[in-house]
Amino acid sequence: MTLPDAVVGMTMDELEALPVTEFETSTIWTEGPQVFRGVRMVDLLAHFGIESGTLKLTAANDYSIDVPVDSFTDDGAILAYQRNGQTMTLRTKGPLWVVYPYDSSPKFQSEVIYSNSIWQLDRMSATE
Amino acid sequence: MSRLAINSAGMDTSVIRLALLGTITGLCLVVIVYLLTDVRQKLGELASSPTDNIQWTLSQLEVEFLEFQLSVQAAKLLSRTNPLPIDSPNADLAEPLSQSLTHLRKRYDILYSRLDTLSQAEHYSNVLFNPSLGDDFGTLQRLVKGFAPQIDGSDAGLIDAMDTMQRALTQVRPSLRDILSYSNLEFVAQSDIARLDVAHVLKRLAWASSVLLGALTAMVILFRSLAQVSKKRLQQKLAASARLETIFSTSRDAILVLDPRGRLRDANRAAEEMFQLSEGEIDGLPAGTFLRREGASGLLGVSGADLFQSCAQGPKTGYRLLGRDRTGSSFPVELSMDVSNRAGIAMLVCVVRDISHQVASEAELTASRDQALAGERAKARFLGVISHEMRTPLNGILGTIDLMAEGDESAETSTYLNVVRTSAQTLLDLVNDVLDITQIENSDVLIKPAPFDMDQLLQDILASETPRARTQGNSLRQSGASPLGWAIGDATRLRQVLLNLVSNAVKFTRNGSVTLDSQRQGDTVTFSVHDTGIGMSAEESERIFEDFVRLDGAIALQIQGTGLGLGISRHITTAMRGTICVQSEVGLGTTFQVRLPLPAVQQIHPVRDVDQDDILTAPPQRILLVEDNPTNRFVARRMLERDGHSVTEAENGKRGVELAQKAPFDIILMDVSMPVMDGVEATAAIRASPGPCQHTRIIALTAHVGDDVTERLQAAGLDDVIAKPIRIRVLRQLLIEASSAAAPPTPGARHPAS
Repeated sequence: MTLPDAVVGMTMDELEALPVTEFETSTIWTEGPQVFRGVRMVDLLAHFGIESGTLKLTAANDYSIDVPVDSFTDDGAILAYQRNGQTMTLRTKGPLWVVYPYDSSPKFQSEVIYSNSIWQLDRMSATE
Repeated sequence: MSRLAINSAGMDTSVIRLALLGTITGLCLVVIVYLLTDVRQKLGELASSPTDNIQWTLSQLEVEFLEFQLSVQAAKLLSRTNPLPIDSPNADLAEPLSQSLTHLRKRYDILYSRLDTLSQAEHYSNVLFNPSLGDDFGTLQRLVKGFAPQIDGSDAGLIDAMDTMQRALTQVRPSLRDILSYSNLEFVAQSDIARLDVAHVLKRLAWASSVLLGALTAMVILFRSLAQVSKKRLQQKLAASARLETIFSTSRDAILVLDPRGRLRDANRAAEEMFQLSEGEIDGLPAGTFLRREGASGLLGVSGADLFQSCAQGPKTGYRLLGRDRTGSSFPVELSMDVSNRAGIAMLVCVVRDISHQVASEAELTASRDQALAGERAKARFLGVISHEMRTPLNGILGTIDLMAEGDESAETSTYLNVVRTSAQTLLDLVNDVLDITQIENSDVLIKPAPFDMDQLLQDILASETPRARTQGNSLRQSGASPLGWAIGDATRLRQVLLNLVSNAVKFTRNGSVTLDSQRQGDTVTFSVHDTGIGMSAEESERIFEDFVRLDGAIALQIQGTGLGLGISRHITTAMRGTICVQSEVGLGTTFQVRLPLPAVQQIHPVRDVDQDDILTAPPQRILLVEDNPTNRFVARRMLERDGHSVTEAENGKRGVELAQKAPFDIILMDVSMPVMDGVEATAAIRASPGPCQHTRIIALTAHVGDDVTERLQAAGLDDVIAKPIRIRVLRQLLIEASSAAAPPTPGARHPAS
């Protein structure tokens, strides 16, 4: 274990100040189409100047996954903070949920993508 | 033909096999396309997973349930050790308990979220709400969600409710286990089904592909073998075709291909040359225009039906027709032909050979054989007739000479001499006849028309035959009312013909009558010689104008003759543009009729001939007699010496030339055919060298007679010609002419009066 170089906390307001992306898609975990609003992962990573390496995402239940930074694309995942116009609570998979536009392409319908679609996200760390 | 049929049958089975394989291939393709669609669908399903990791998600439910249960237990334990002051519900809780409750609430939220997710996700809800599971999951969900008011409520309320919660959770725990076990099995089964489904489709696809591969392989092999067979056959056909083409074009015989309507479809170069056809007009030309045959009414064009008909029984060879080329000239041809029945269309293939040369040589051969046979027959007949006819007068001569030699009655001498002369004359006539017919047959009869007195001619003929008629007991007379007068024609030839007819009539009649009748109609004069003799049959009548024909009657009656007379008469009549014919009946008599164009002319004053009875002699001459035959020399010498001439003899031409160089002669009598040097050569020698006899009159003596001989001798320098045998009268006449030409006429000599 190495200690992190820097720890940055972000409030919801700060997150909402970043470029907003919104799309509608269905998911395998919900009923009917859902409208998600958030920030593109690429925009978020650019905001922090992260261009390579691996992103470790961890949920409230300590579920965590490692995602390569370069796997995020311009048409890909967002870090959603609103679902159907509502902020998300822990009971409704909040506060943050990495969501892909599953309906837009079959490439977003694989088990890897589903695994990456981490909800109840509350921590994120980048390693080179 | 049969080999080809087998081959084509082989082709048929191949085609059927191909069609079968094609059908199989098609079916396989359809099946494969169907299966591929299925596979693509399945692959699509596989590519886009309908679910996340099921095992994980399901196990997370239990994990999160247990985490919640643990957090409840932990909070309960803490609440026992740090009891909440009853009176001050709002008092701050002990720090560990507060943290524990926060953790409990978080765990509750996470569990709540998990339950929500599972019930909302279609994939899971289908299994979890399966009726066979009862309403276990619903119960669980309702139970957990039922805690929400306490969780969201005050800490004290939550602490109070924890016991109930604890009990409920413990109670529902086995049910959760059942739910998860069942779901796990269900999902495994589903996964199995999906996998097996794909495997099944892939297996079917593999089968179909194998069959397709097999069919395609079989087709490839079949195609390959077919291609090889076809290629081989094509090569064979090309080779055969090239050979046939060479045969076709190089054949010296014409080769024609005709369709059933008899129209020309193809022809080789030999045919083009033979019939002089140009390449453009070959196609469609009717056979009748260049192949003909002899019909009832001349030449007919051959029709296609004729030709096909003659090949009905198979190939036909040696079929003779007449070919006709562009210029219309015909030539004999021989056809070999057969019908080629290919592809349902009968075509006639004819090989045509021009047999002009063959036919010509056949005809020539036949003609020369006939000629040779005829020649042989003629020779045999001639020898037979001549030897017989010569024997008779020779017998007369030799017999009489014997009588004269033995007897001494000089009184009978003149009688004997008469017999000898007559016999010799008969012999001479015989020889003349033979020469005549030879000449007539070898060349055209020379007709020399001149005015002559016809009445005189007829009288002469009758006069000459009267003695014989009397001997035979016949009356010989002339009928015909009016005199014929003068006419233009060849008197000598006419005399020959009429004398022959009259003489024949007299010979073949005994104690009957012979009548010579003559009538003029315009320019044509008809002479009829009628007798009441033995007559002859119709068949005999047809033959009598041929040469050397002696009828049985003549032989039986011992009538003399060469059988040439009528043949000569016919030739002469034809040459004079007249006709001769005969009518006869056996036992009744015969009538010969001669019609000749003899235009009448004015009477010409007759030039009186030298009176035959007057014996004239030339004045004595010096004569050189060049003659190789001692007998002829002796006879001539005696004849000349009797008339008072002096005769010097030379036995050949060379000797004659020598004598002529030494002494002058008034006349030289020169035999033509001699040993050492012949007459022509000798004459030339005498004429060439200056000597006493260079310009002496030279008279040829020759056994060869004829105008052409005379001309030839005159050309060689001979002045005149005497035909052998030498008759005293002729000799005297010539000597007179010679002496009168050489010197002015002697006053005492008599001349033909004008």
